[in-house]
Amino acid sequence: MTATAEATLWICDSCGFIYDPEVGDPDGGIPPGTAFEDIPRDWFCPVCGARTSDFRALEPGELG
Amino acid sequence: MAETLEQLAQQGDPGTLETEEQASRIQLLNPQQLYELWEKQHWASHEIDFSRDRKDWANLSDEERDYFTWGLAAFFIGEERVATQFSGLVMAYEDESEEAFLATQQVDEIRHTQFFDRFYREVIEIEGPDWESRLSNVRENVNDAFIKLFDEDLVSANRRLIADPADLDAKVDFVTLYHMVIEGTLALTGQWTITDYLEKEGLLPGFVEGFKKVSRDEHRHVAYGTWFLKQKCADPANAERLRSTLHEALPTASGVLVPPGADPNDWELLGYTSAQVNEFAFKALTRRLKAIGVPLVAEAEGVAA
Repeated sequence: MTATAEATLWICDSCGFIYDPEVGDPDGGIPPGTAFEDIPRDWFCPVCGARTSDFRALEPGELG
Repeated sequence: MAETLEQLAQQGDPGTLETEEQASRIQLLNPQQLYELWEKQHWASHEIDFSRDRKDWANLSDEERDYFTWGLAAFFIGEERVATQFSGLVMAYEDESEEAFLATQQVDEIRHTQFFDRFYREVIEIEGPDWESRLSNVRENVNDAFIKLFDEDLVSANRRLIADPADLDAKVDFVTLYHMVIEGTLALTGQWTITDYLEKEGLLPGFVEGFKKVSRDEHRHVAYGTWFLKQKCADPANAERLRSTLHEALPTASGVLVPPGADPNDWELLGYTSAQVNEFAFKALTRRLKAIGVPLVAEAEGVAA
């Protein structure tokens, strides 16, 4: 996990799924603690199937 | 070892309790939010630059050309089918936000058909003075499973909704077939494979740009289908209906992924094996089912997806 917790949350621009490195995506083969940048190329959003290039880092405070 | 999508579906996917808890926490965008996203993600199929693609297409290997001729035919015909067999769902809206979102989806499907028609005309240089004749030429490349799924099953599901837009069973069946199987499993798998290959090889940049936008639109559609089914499948009868419709559709869908003349259990194209492709398709479907909260195989049967 990188230093700034807020900056490490990533959102899928197609469906709003949020990737939290602290949680990872164990069902998708991503262990907890994996930074978004370290996710393998063949991973995809569990809801809509978007690739990592369709995600963006959440701005600080964006979740409200 | 299971090889086809159908065989994988019969096995089920043994998830973990931890995973199911994680899945239940996933927040899904509602139709109003998805509509607003559509406004931000607008694009124009006629603005894509295919100038480099024409040169690339002329220099493809025979294997590459055969693969794309087959694979893209399924998308071109498929987009036309889904665009013209969607009105029943638009008629079945339950509130104005859902109506707004579904109307955008129908526009998206037309835009995708325009994109593929342009690519076929300007890059592949298919013959034919109009859409119908070009679609008819391209149809030679799709297999019997594709024809059953798109010309029979999808058409029938749409007609049921047109006959009675208030028929919730028909709506659950349509969304399951369209958003979960056609878009969320088959199209997603084809998009991933084709985009991955073209990006790695640095080929057809105009096509890749447009195809990624097509994919983004379809991810939004799949997000709607996931939201809709999660709402409706709180009722166990609808959950069972979703599961049953999937089990009916998956044997046919499994056949759509098989290239012409290939052994359905063992084929390879451009470095992707049938096992890799089927596992990707299966994973895309079952992970989404977890977000909906309906395992592919009922828990009472012993294995949960």
